[in-house]
Amino acid sequence: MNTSAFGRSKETPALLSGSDRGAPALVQRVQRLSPLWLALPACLVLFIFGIGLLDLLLWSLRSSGSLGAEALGPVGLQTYARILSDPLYLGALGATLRLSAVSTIASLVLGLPIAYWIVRTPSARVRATLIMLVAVPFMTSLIVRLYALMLVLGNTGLVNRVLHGLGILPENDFLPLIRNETSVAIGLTYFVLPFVIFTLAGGFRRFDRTLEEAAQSLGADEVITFFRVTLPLLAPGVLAAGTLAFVLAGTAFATPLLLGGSAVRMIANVIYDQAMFAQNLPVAAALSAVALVFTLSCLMLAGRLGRRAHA
Amino acid sequence: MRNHRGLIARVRLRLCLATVWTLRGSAFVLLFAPILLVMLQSFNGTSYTRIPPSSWSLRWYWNILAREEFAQSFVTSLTVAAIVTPLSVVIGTLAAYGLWKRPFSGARAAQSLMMSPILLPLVVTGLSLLVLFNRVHLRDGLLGIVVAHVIITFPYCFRAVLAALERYDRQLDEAASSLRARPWTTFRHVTLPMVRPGVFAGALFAFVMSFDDFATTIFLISPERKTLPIAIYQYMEFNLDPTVSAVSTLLVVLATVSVLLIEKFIGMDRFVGLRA
Amino acid sequence: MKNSVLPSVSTPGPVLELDRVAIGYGREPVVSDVSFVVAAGEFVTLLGPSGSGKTSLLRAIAGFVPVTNGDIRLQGRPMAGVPPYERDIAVVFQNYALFPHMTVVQNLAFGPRTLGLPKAEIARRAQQVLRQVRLEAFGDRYPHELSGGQQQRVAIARALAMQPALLLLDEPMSNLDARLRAQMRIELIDLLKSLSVTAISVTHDQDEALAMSDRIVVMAEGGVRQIGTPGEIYQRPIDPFVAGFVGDANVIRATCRGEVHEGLARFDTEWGHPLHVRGCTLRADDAGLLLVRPEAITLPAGASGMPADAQAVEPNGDLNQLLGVFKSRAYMGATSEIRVTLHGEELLVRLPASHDRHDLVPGDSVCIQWDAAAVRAIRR
Repeated sequence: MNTSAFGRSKETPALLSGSDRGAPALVQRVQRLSPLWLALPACLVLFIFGIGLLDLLLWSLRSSGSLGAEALGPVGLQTYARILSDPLYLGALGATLRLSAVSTIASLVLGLPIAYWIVRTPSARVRATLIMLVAVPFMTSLIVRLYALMLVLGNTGLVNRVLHGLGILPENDFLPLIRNETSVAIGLTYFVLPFVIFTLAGGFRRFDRTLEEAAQSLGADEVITFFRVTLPLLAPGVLAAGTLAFVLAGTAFATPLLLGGSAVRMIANVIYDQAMFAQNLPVAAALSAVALVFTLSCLMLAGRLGRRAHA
Repeated sequence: MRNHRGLIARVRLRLCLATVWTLRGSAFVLLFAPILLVMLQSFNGTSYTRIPPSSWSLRWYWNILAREEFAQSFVTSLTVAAIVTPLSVVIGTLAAYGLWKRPFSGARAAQSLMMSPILLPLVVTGLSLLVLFNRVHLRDGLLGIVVAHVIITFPYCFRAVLAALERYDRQLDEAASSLRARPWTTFRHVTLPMVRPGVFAGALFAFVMSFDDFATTIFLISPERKTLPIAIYQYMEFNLDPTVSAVSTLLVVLATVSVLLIEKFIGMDRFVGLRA
Repeated sequence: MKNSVLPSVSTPGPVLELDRVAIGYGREPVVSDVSFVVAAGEFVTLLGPSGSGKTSLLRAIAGFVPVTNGDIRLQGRPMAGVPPYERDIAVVFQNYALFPHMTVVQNLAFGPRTLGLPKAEIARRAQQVLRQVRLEAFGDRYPHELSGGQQQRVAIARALAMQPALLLLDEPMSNLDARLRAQMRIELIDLLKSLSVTAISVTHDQDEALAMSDRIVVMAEGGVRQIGTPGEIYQRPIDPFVAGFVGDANVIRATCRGEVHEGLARFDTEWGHPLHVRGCTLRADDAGLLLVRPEAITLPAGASGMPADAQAVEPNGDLNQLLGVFKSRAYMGATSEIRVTLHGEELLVRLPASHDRHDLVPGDSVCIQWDAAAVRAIRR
């Protein structure tokens, strides 16, 4: 049997001291540092982001001014008072909340059956196909999708042509499905639907199938089981998806821009207009702050509700 | 009594199933009908939209090459995405590894912080960067767009790599350490190969998100420098011909290819977080 | 009696010294005040139930966990602040932790490669350890293509390829089935001894500890209970915990009444029955615990015709005798485990199955006996 002398390796005496293989001391010192230092580049990027945000929020405390020019007026909350009392801005905020709510509900209703299918199908192939089918629109540029939707909803678009062809609408009449809140609502639902489906599917994955089996062994059929057992337990997933949808729809920019024309203005459009065209940076900044508060409070609320549901 | 109850239950079940399948069908119609229509339109022979097309042609695809703004903006988008993707991957991967390696009490909060650029509204990000760049007199449009895109894409890389790390067996790192491998060696030869799918997923996501971005970029473009989505939008404002459909179809093809690649290399279900 | 805190082998210096090591903070530290020494070539086992701190101690020796007090010295060198990759150790993990994306040979070569050894030497070492664990044909397989036992051997080989000063094993047998476990114990010890490897192993399996170790460190609740050779631990446990954890033990409360003969002491149980104990250190009026191993108790043949009433039966010189009630029997194949109750206590008796008294039924009076030298008396 081999009887090499362990414990005192003759080949590599340098092993026993601190410097492995003669690596420079600096390299060693660096490697002993906390791995948190690796997050430094990310922190730098976030820092830039944070500074920009701060700068913008500082602008919201002034009265008027535009990009490249001086900020004027006293430092205070007067701009906030202005936007929260002006019916123009309030109207935009109202439209934002209204449209987000509608598209959230619509996307949940449409998304839930598909998410359920994705999670429940026994065939991995079907699951992969479904996910890919949902992913392709997801990965397609939003502009493309919105343009495509315009082709469908437009006055000479698919819907109207079909209605004409079927004789439901007379030749000169058309269903106004573009440049109004309806089209924006449909567009927002379209935009948000893939996010909702994936989030719902992720939330459903943790569901314990044996609970359904228990319910069915107690005499409940599929429908009762679904509404009494499955759905309440899926509530956290639905909440997460709904929050995401609400936040995404509420801060949407391109969708109302393309589908709403000048008739529909959501908060993101007002921010853009005020900053780029009306040269009114403080108002844009104040509205941005409102949008931030909206987003953060939705996320925090959802987090808190989610935690309570699990308690 | 039992028959009666059975009948109601069965009818109810049928109704529910019918509703479910109707909803599924509607959802897929919503997702795909517009896209399919656009692809159909791109081959339209005439310059006005007519459904179904009366003639077929490839001229709109040739038109893309003829229109300078499309070619130029495509190059810009590609350049930006090509620069942004490796940057985001490195930044996101290092951050994910750094936060994961040694657990600490504020880890949850730190993770949310890393994700914040995509949790907050993109328009706000765009505007705040515009204000910042203005203040530091950043004239170069390309650099500004690159910085903006890194900010809004590295969180995806971070999340993808973090998800992969959370599935990774920490003891493998300890094993490497016990075999005298210094931290960098362990990372390079043991950890990284095991989380490579996550890195790749993050990279692809970053590329697509950078290429597709509209809401943030629109604050930072200039007449000489714009990305493809913005060029499309501007073209759409004045022109109604199917050239847009042709460009759109190409982008749909790009999306489809990406999805197929992800499915082949990582599995789409794992990519969207649906499989352990 | 000798308690082997220090090894009996004289060596050029211990491989490992633990000096009042403590791990963890707060009111219940994970490990508190552990000291012992491991000499070259020894196989020491840290034995204890879960929560005893044995795994934390092993991880601290490896460098994965910081020590909050005390010192760890590896070959005389203090390990405070030294990361794992700078310590001359190698670890065999409980779940083996084989690199899934590398073949067996690549796994084995990983360590020597990080050491910067020349290519020829790396290959030689990999082949050498592959032979030592008898997996020569499996070099190009991936870990997931191997059985549990084969994976374990690769894990051991990978550690041995490092030729470490100290080998650390974290519950190496726990993922093997019982039959394989018994076989691997012998194989592993033979291999380590042939290579003169110094090793520390962690386990909760007392059979493994007794079979493999040169010395055992019995731990509980973060502290060391006893250190000794397997024989010392089993035959002279220091307290009821050790007696009960390593093997089974019957515990009888008794008070010492002083010496009866030369070396023979008398104890009175709580119910007044006298028992003789040889070689104890307690003195008269000391409160004590008498530990008797089940296999030391016998049922005398032909004990029928015992008086029905449970009168105290006097010890006869070195032979202790007690009268009890037969409660139950468990047939274990090679042995029978019999439970006998007396005065509220229940004693476990383990006999070779051939010596069993099959005529006994529950409720029968039965006489049990054991030798005075088979008792261990400890202070209460």
